[in-house]
Amino acid sequence: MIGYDVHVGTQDGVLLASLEGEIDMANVDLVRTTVVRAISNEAHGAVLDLSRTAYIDSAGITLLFHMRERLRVRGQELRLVVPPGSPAFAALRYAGVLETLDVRDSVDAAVAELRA
Amino acid sequence: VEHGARGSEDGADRRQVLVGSASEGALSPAPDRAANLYRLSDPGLSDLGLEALLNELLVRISEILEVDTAAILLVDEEHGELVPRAVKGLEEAIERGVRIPIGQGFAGQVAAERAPITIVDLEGADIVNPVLRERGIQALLGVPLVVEGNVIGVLHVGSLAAREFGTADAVVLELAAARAAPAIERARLFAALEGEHRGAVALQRSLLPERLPDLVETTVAARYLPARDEVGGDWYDVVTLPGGRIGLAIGDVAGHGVRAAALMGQMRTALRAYALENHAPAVVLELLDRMLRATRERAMATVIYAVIEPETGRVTYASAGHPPPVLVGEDGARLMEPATGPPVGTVLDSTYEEAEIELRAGETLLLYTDGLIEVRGEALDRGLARLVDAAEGITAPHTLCERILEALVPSEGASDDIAVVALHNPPVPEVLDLRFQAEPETLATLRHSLRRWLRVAGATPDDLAAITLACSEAAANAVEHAYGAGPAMYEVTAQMEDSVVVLRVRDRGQWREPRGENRGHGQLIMRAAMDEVDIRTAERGTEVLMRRRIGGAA
Repeated sequence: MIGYDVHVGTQDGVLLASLEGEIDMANVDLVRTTVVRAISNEAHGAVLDLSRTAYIDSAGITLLFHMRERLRVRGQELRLVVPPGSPAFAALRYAGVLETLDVRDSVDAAVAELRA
Repeated sequence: VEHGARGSEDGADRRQVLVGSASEGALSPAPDRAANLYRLSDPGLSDLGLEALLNELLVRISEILEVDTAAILLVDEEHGELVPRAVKGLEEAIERGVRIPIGQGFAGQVAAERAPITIVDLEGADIVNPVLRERGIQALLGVPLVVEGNVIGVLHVGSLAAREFGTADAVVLELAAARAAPAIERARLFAALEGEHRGAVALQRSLLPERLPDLVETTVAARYLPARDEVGGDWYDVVTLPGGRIGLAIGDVAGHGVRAAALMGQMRTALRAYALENHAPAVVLELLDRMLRATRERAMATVIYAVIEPETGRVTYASAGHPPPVLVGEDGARLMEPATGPPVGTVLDSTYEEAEIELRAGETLLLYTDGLIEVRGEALDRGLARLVDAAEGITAPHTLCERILEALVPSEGASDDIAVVALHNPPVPEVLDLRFQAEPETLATLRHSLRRWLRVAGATPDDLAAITLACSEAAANAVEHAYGAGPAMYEVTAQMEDSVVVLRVRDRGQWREPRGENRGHGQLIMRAAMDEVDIRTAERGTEVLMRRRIGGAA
């Protein structure tokens, strides 16, 4: 079982990847490959939408940090969409990283920032 | 040339088409032949199988007409040729695999002209079959084997001595042909049908799932019953979807035979592909409808596609003209809302509605095809009522499948094929007690089982997220410990103490302290999500004991 689904598209010229399903140590490498491959060198940055992510654990959170670091090296920014009340919100809150990672409530808000 | 022969001399081979035949009654057979003729219409011949019948006819013809050879050749329609089927005195013809194109040679011309033909001198005649000359045959007489106006073969006799066959001989031979032709055709049709049936059954078997997926929380059983004497287009399928959900499908392609079975294979594959794309049931049916109408064949099918979420028991389904699902509980069985649109492949741009039902712990969802409930000349309601009666209270899926087939299928077999598939949502145990191989892939399964248990225990959405996270993190650690240490197991138990969830995760490895900048999230999560976390490492392994009060009383 794959367990997750990545939808990649653009909104207002900003790359938007949304993760559906569950992310844990079993599939985190696959998720990394899929998402990183989708982000071209030319992009200003990317929005990763976790509002429909049913589960993400510490392995997934480590992935978020890695991705942010990787983009930073290329001069790109990463914005995460994690609405309050979502499973991802709980995970990030319990891990204490809500403030450290640039988390936004909605896709529109995150996209607007990267366009500016 | 005897009297009654039409003078259509055909050059050197002295080939003649004879007129006057038994059916036209142009000539009465000589009185001394009456007994012989009876030997050809002997009702006793009917008891013989095809092989024996043909051989016996050839023997009797040889005796009556006093000829040296006799042969029956059948038309091979695919190649437009005649193939020897039964011979007497010309055995080599079969052994050598002689084939005679229709329209050529002696037998080929009999078939093409659909009339008795005689050759009085083989010297210089147009002969394809080399065995005739090798055997030293001097004269030949052949008649077509005709069934319902179609030539299905040729019956011919030959003489080693010089001889001129006449109309009277042709009459006898035509009588034998009239006896043999229908028997041959019946046997052929039977063999063809038999072949098609066998082929279609094999095809259909190859198209149905070989084995159902191993599901953790739920159990599934399915049966397929071919029709008594026809192959249909029924199918079922079970797919595992992301998030621990299960897709359950059943369908029935209209029609029978190889075509329906082949189409069923396409439908099943297409549905499976759409289902794995994670589409909602109504969308899956709409895509299936579009797919079917895009194929050139006109085809129609009824289908139900249901998505079951074992964690919550929520079942979402859509139906394309298919009989309604049955929900079976300990205390009864009931038909579900029809939620039905047109069969796929019928109307332009069909749209489908979804219905939602709850499959509670302990209940079983049953899908079936109409072959199970339809009895010719009876209202459908009665079949449905019989099904509900038979299913009542039987929630074990294998038993359910067996019982309903036993109760509803007549002992001589069904006239239509039948597919049934049952999915059981087992009761939730008071104490959750799970063992897993220490593999990363088991974590998702663990979470689904735990969430299902937590819901029944009264956990709020916050509780669910917190406890699932903490438990999965502890288990992930157990899996990491086990790496490289060969096959290992870990155990998870959960139970309620008043309104506190007590969770234990045990393995036989050593607890590994987190390393690196971002490696500490797991333990942070566990401690933040639970009221109490106690990690005990002993020589025989590690036990993580965690507690959290649930139900909103934080």
